[in-house]
Amino acid sequence: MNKTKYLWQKHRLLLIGFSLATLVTLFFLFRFVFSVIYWSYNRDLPIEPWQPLGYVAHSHQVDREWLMRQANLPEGIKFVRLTVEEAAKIDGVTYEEMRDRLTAAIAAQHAQ
Amino acid sequence: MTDLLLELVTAYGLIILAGTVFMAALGAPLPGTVLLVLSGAFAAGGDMDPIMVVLTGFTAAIAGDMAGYFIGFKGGEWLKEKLGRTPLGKHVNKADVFMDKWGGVGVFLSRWLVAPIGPTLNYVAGIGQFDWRRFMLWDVLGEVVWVGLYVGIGMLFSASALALVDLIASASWMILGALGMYFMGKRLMIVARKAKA
Repeated sequence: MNKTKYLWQKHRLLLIGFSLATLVTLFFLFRFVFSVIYWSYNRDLPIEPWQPLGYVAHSHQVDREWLMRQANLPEGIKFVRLTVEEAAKIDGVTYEEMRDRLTAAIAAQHAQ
Repeated sequence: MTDLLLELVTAYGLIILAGTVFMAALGAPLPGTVLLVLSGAFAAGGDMDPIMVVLTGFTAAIAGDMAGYFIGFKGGEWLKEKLGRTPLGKHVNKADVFMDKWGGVGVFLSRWLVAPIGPTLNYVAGIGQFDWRRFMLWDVLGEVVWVGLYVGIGMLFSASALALVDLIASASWMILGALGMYFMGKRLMIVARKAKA
Protein backbone atom coordinates (compact mmCIF):
# COMPACT_ATOMS: atom_id res chain seq x y z
CA MET A 1 0.00 0.00 0.00
CA ASN A 2 1.54 3.31 -0.91
CA LYS A 3 2.12 5.95 1.70
CA THR A 4 -0.39 8.56 0.49
CA LYS A 5 -3.13 5.94 0.36
CA TYR A 6 -2.28 4.78 3.87
CA LEU A 7 -2.33 8.35 5.20
CA TRP A 8 -5.62 9.03 3.43
CA GLN A 9 -7.22 6.00 5.05
CA LYS A 10 -5.79 6.33 8.54
CA HIS A 11 -5.12 10.06 8.99
CA ARG A 12 -7.59 11.71 6.66
CA LEU A 13 -8.20 14.83 8.78
CA LEU A 14 -4.49 15.49 9.17
CA LEU A 15 -3.90 15.13 5.44
CA ILE A 16 -6.82 17.44 4.58
CA GLY A 17 -5.61 19.95 7.18
CA PHE A 18 -2.10 19.92 5.75
CA SER A 19 -3.42 20.40 2.19
CA LEU A 20 -5.63 23.28 3.30
CA ALA A 21 -2.72 24.95 5.11
CA THR A 22 -0.62 24.59 1.95
CA LEU A 23 -3.37 26.16 -0.17
CA VAL A 24 -3.82 29.06 2.27
CA THR A 25 -0.06 29.67 2.34
CA LEU A 26 0.27 29.65 -1.44
CA PHE A 27 -2.82 31.83 -1.95
CA PHE A 28 -1.58 34.51 0.45
CA LEU A 29 1.96 34.25 -0.90
CA PHE A 30 0.63 35.22 -4.35
CA ARG A 31 -1.59 37.90 -2.85
CA PHE A 32 1.38 39.27 -0.91
CA VAL A 33 3.61 39.45 -3.98
CA PHE A 34 0.78 41.05 -5.97
CA SER A 35 0.22 43.66 -3.21
CA VAL A 36 3.93 44.52 -3.10
CA ILE A 37 3.96 45.15 -6.86
CA TYR A 38 0.68 47.07 -6.74
CA TRP A 39 1.84 49.16 -3.79
CA SER A 40 5.14 50.12 -5.37
CA TYR A 41 3.35 51.40 -8.51
CA ASN A 42 0.40 53.13 -6.82
CA ARG A 43 1.87 55.35 -4.15
CA ASP A 44 0.01 58.47 -5.41
CA LEU A 45 -3.63 57.74 -4.83
CA PRO A 46 -6.34 60.08 -6.14
CA ILE A 47 -8.29 62.48 -3.92
CA GLU A 48 -11.58 61.03 -2.61
CA PRO A 49 -14.64 62.86 -1.16
CA TRP A 50 -14.19 61.48 2.40
CA GLN A 51 -10.55 62.55 2.74
CA PRO A 52 -9.88 65.42 5.16
CA LEU A 53 -7.78 68.26 3.71
CA GLY A 54 -4.98 67.69 6.23
CA TYR A 55 -4.81 64.06 5.12
CA VAL A 56 -4.70 65.08 1.46
CA ALA A 57 -1.95 67.61 2.24
CA HIS A 58 0.14 65.07 4.16
CA SER A 59 -0.40 62.34 1.53
CA HIS A 60 0.85 64.60 -1.27
CA GLN A 61 3.54 66.30 0.79
CA VAL A 62 2.20 69.84 0.58
CA ASP A 63 1.58 72.32 3.42
CA ARG A 64 -1.79 71.95 5.15
CA GLU A 65 -2.47 75.70 5.45
CA TRP A 66 -1.44 76.23 1.83
CA LEU A 67 -3.93 73.57 0.69
CA MET A 68 -6.68 75.19 2.82
CA ARG A 69 -6.04 78.46 0.96
CA GLN A 70 -6.29 76.64 -2.40
CA ALA A 71 -9.69 75.34 -1.28
CA ASN A 72 -10.70 78.97 -0.73
CA LEU A 73 -11.68 78.38 2.89
CA PRO A 74 -12.40 81.39 5.12
CA GLU A 75 -9.25 82.30 7.07
CA GLY A 76 -9.06 82.44 10.84
CA ILE A 77 -11.30 79.41 11.43
CA LYS A 78 -9.72 76.16 12.58
CA PHE A 79 -11.22 73.30 10.58
CA VAL A 80 -10.77 69.79 12.00
CA ARG A 81 -11.12 66.79 9.67
CA LEU A 82 -12.89 68.96 7.10
CA THR A 83 -13.36 66.70 4.06
CA VAL A 84 -12.86 67.64 0.40
CA GLU A 85 -16.61 67.23 -0.08
CA GLU A 86 -17.41 69.62 2.80
CA ALA A 87 -14.81 72.13 1.57
CA ALA A 88 -16.55 72.12 -1.83
CA LYS A 89 -19.89 72.86 -0.14
CA ILE A 90 -18.41 75.78 1.84
CA ASP A 91 -16.88 77.22 -1.34
CA GLY A 92 -20.15 76.72 -3.25
CA VAL A 93 -18.68 74.46 -5.96
CA THR A 94 -19.26 70.80 -6.82
CA TYR A 95 -17.04 68.10 -5.35
CA GLU A 96 -15.57 67.37 -8.82
CA GLU A 97 -14.57 71.02 -9.28
CA MET A 98 -12.89 71.10 -5.88
CA ARG A 99 -11.08 67.78 -6.52
CA ASP A 100 -9.79 69.00 -9.90
CA ARG A 101 -8.71 72.35 -8.46
CA LEU A 102 -6.77 70.72 -5.60
CA THR A 103 -5.24 68.07 -7.87
CA ALA A 104 -4.06 70.77 -10.30
CA ALA A 105 -2.70 72.96 -7.49
CA ILE A 106 -0.78 70.05 -5.98
CA ALA A 107 0.64 69.10 -9.39
CA ALA A 108 1.74 72.72 -9.98
CA GLN A 109 3.35 72.84 -6.54
CA HIS A 110 5.23 69.57 -7.20
CA ALA A 111 6.40 70.86 -10.60
CA GLN A 112 8.07 73.87 -8.96
CA MET B 1 -18.85 48.65 5.43
CA THR B 2 -15.28 49.97 5.40
CA ASP B 3 -16.34 53.03 3.37
CA LEU B 4 -19.04 53.83 5.91
CA LEU B 5 -16.55 53.49 8.77
CA LEU B 6 -14.08 55.76 6.94
CA GLU B 7 -16.76 58.43 6.76
CA LEU B 8 -17.76 57.88 10.39
CA VAL B 9 -14.20 58.13 11.69
CA THR B 10 -13.74 61.34 9.70
CA ALA B 11 -16.90 62.80 11.22
CA TYR B 12 -16.70 61.50 14.80
CA GLY B 13 -13.02 60.62 15.28
CA LEU B 14 -11.78 58.76 18.34
CA ILE B 15 -15.10 57.31 19.52
CA ILE B 16 -15.53 55.38 16.23
CA LEU B 17 -11.91 54.21 16.42
CA ALA B 18 -12.47 52.96 19.99
CA GLY B 19 -15.73 51.16 19.18
CA THR B 20 -14.34 49.47 16.05
CA VAL B 21 -11.11 48.30 17.70
CA PHE B 22 -13.04 46.98 20.73
CA MET B 23 -15.53 45.02 18.60
CA ALA B 24 -12.79 43.72 16.28
CA ALA B 25 -10.91 42.37 19.33
CA LEU B 26 -14.04 40.37 20.17
CA GLY B 27 -14.01 38.89 16.67
CA ALA B 28 -16.52 41.16 14.90
CA PRO B 29 -15.63 41.46 11.19
CA LEU B 30 -14.69 45.16 11.42
CA PRO B 31 -11.54 46.80 10.02
CA GLY B 32 -9.88 47.81 13.30
CA THR B 33 -6.42 47.84 11.76
CA VAL B 34 -7.51 49.98 8.80
CA LEU B 35 -9.05 52.61 11.10
CA LEU B 36 -5.94 52.63 13.29
CA VAL B 37 -3.72 53.27 10.25
CA LEU B 38 -6.09 55.94 8.98
CA SER B 39 -6.17 57.65 12.38
CA GLY B 40 -2.36 57.67 12.29
CA ALA B 41 -2.51 59.31 8.86
CA PHE B 42 -5.06 61.87 10.12
CA ALA B 43 -2.78 62.60 13.08
CA ALA B 44 0.15 63.22 10.73
CA GLY B 45 -2.03 65.60 8.71
CA GLY B 46 -2.93 67.60 11.83
CA ASP B 47 -6.53 66.35 11.99
CA MET B 48 -6.19 64.20 15.11
CA ASP B 49 -4.05 64.24 18.23
CA PRO B 50 -1.41 61.48 17.81
CA ILE B 51 -1.16 60.80 21.55
CA MET B 52 -4.94 60.43 21.83
CA VAL B 53 -4.97 58.09 18.80
CA VAL B 54 -2.35 55.83 20.42
CA LEU B 55 -4.05 55.90 23.85
CA THR B 56 -7.51 55.25 22.39
CA GLY B 57 -6.36 52.39 20.13
CA PHE B 58 -4.39 50.82 22.95
CA THR B 59 -7.11 51.11 25.62
CA ALA B 60 -9.86 49.84 23.29
CA ALA B 61 -7.74 46.87 22.18
CA ILE B 62 -6.87 45.83 25.75
CA ALA B 63 -10.51 46.29 26.87
CA GLY B 64 -11.73 44.15 23.94
CA ASP B 65 -9.15 41.42 24.58
CA MET B 66 -9.92 41.28 28.30
CA ALA B 67 -13.67 41.21 27.57
CA GLY B 68 -13.09 38.24 25.22
CA TYR B 69 -11.00 36.54 27.89
CA PHE B 70 -13.70 36.92 30.57
CA ILE B 71 -16.48 35.81 28.22
CA GLY B 72 -14.36 32.70 27.54
CA PHE B 73 -13.70 32.25 31.25
CA LYS B 74 -17.37 32.37 32.25
CA GLY B 75 -18.58 30.55 29.13
CA GLY B 76 -15.94 27.84 29.60
CA GLU B 77 -17.10 27.09 33.15
CA TRP B 78 -20.65 26.78 31.89
CA LEU B 79 -19.55 24.55 28.98
CA LYS B 80 -17.55 22.26 31.27
CA GLU B 81 -20.51 21.91 33.60
CA LYS B 82 -22.96 21.17 30.76
CA LEU B 83 -20.76 18.90 28.65
CA GLY B 84 -18.93 17.22 31.53
CA ARG B 85 -17.53 13.90 30.41
CA THR B 86 -19.20 13.78 27.01
CA PRO B 87 -16.85 13.51 24.01
CA LEU B 88 -17.33 17.27 23.40
CA GLY B 89 -16.21 18.00 26.97
CA LYS B 90 -12.78 16.61 26.10
CA HIS B 91 -12.36 19.36 23.53
CA VAL B 92 -13.16 22.03 26.10
CA ASN B 93 -10.48 20.58 28.38
CA LYS B 94 -7.99 20.72 25.52
CA ALA B 95 -7.99 24.52 25.87
CA ASP B 96 -6.05 24.17 29.16
CA VAL B 97 -3.42 21.96 27.52
CA PHE B 98 -3.15 24.30 24.54
CA MET B 99 -2.64 27.37 26.73
CA ASP B 100 -0.11 25.59 28.97
CA LYS B 101 1.92 24.79 25.89
CA TRP B 102 1.64 28.05 23.93
CA GLY B 103 0.62 30.50 26.65
CA GLY B 104 2.15 33.94 26.81
CA VAL B 105 4.19 34.00 23.62
CA GLY B 106 1.10 32.88 21.68
CA VAL B 107 -0.92 35.75 23.13
CA PHE B 108 1.89 38.20 22.32
CA LEU B 109 2.35 37.09 18.69
CA SER B 110 -1.38 36.82 17.98
CA ARG B 111 -1.76 40.54 18.77
CA TRP B 112 0.21 41.66 15.73
CA LEU B 113 2.16 38.98 13.83
CA VAL B 114 -0.59 36.38 13.36
CA ALA B 115 -3.43 38.78 14.14
CA PRO B 116 -6.20 36.72 12.43
CA ILE B 117 -6.23 34.29 15.39
CA GLY B 118 -6.18 37.04 18.07
CA PRO B 119 -9.91 37.08 18.98
CA THR B 120 -10.10 33.26 19.05
CA LEU B 121 -7.09 33.08 21.33
CA ASN B 122 -8.73 35.53 23.77
CA TYR B 123 -11.65 33.13 24.19
CA VAL B 124 -9.42 30.03 24.31
CA ALA B 125 -7.25 31.64 27.02
CA GLY B 126 -10.39 32.35 29.07
CA ILE B 127 -11.82 28.86 28.56
CA GLY B 128 -8.44 27.33 29.48
CA GLN B 129 -8.43 29.52 32.65
CA PHE B 130 -4.99 30.85 31.76
CA ASP B 131 -3.80 33.14 34.59
CA TRP B 132 -5.41 36.49 33.79
CA ARG B 133 -2.41 38.54 35.02
CA ARG B 134 -0.11 36.67 32.66
CA PHE B 135 -2.64 37.07 29.86
CA MET B 136 -2.87 40.80 30.48
CA LEU B 137 0.91 41.24 30.64
CA TRP B 138 1.49 39.54 27.25
CA ASP B 139 -1.60 41.23 25.82
CA VAL B 140 -0.32 44.69 26.81
CA LEU B 141 3.11 43.96 25.30
CA GLY B 142 1.54 42.67 22.09
CA GLU B 143 -0.89 45.57 21.72
CA VAL B 144 1.93 48.08 22.25
CA VAL B 145 3.57 46.57 19.17
CA TRP B 146 0.26 46.45 17.22
CA VAL B 147 -0.73 50.05 17.96
CA GLY B 148 2.80 51.40 17.52
CA LEU B 149 3.29 49.53 14.25
CA TYR B 150 0.04 50.58 12.58
CA VAL B 151 -0.20 54.16 13.85
CA GLY B 152 3.44 54.52 12.77
CA ILE B 153 2.71 53.13 9.30
CA GLY B 154 -0.25 55.50 8.96
CA MET B 155 1.81 58.51 10.00
CA LEU B 156 4.66 57.62 7.66
CA PHE B 157 2.82 56.56 4.53
CA SER B 158 -0.56 58.32 4.73
CA ALA B 159 -2.70 57.47 1.69
CA SER B 160 -0.53 54.61 0.46
CA ALA B 161 -0.60 53.13 3.99
CA LEU B 162 -4.00 51.55 3.33
CA ALA B 163 -2.52 49.44 0.52
CA LEU B 164 0.28 48.53 2.90
CA VAL B 165 -2.27 47.19 5.42
CA ASP B 166 -3.50 44.76 2.77
CA LEU B 167 0.04 43.62 2.22
CA ILE B 168 0.61 43.03 5.93
CA ALA B 169 -2.70 41.15 6.26
CA SER B 170 -1.59 38.79 3.47
CA ALA B 171 1.72 38.26 5.25
CA SER B 172 -0.11 37.42 8.50
CA TRP B 173 -2.26 34.76 6.83
CA MET B 174 0.79 33.41 5.02
CA ILE B 175 2.65 32.96 8.32
CA LEU B 176 -0.42 31.31 9.84
CA GLY B 177 -0.67 28.91 6.87
CA ALA B 178 3.05 28.12 7.05
CA LEU B 179 2.77 27.39 10.79
CA GLY B 180 -0.11 25.00 10.04
CA MET B 181 1.96 23.33 7.32
CA TYR B 182 4.91 22.97 9.68
CA PHE B 183 3.02 21.36 12.57
CA MET B 184 0.77 19.15 10.47
CA GLY B 185 3.66 18.22 8.18
CA LYS B 186 5.74 17.18 11.18
CA ARG B 187 2.88 15.03 12.45
CA LEU B 188 2.36 13.51 8.99
CA MET B 189 6.01 12.54 8.80
CA ILE B 190 5.82 10.84 12.20
CA VAL B 191 2.75 8.78 11.30
CA ALA B 192 4.18 7.93 7.86
CA ARG B 193 7.38 6.66 9.49
CA LYS B 194 5.34 4.56 11.92
CA ALA B 195 3.50 3.02 8.98
CA LYS B 196 6.77 1.80 7.49
CA ALA B 197 7.91 0.15 10.72
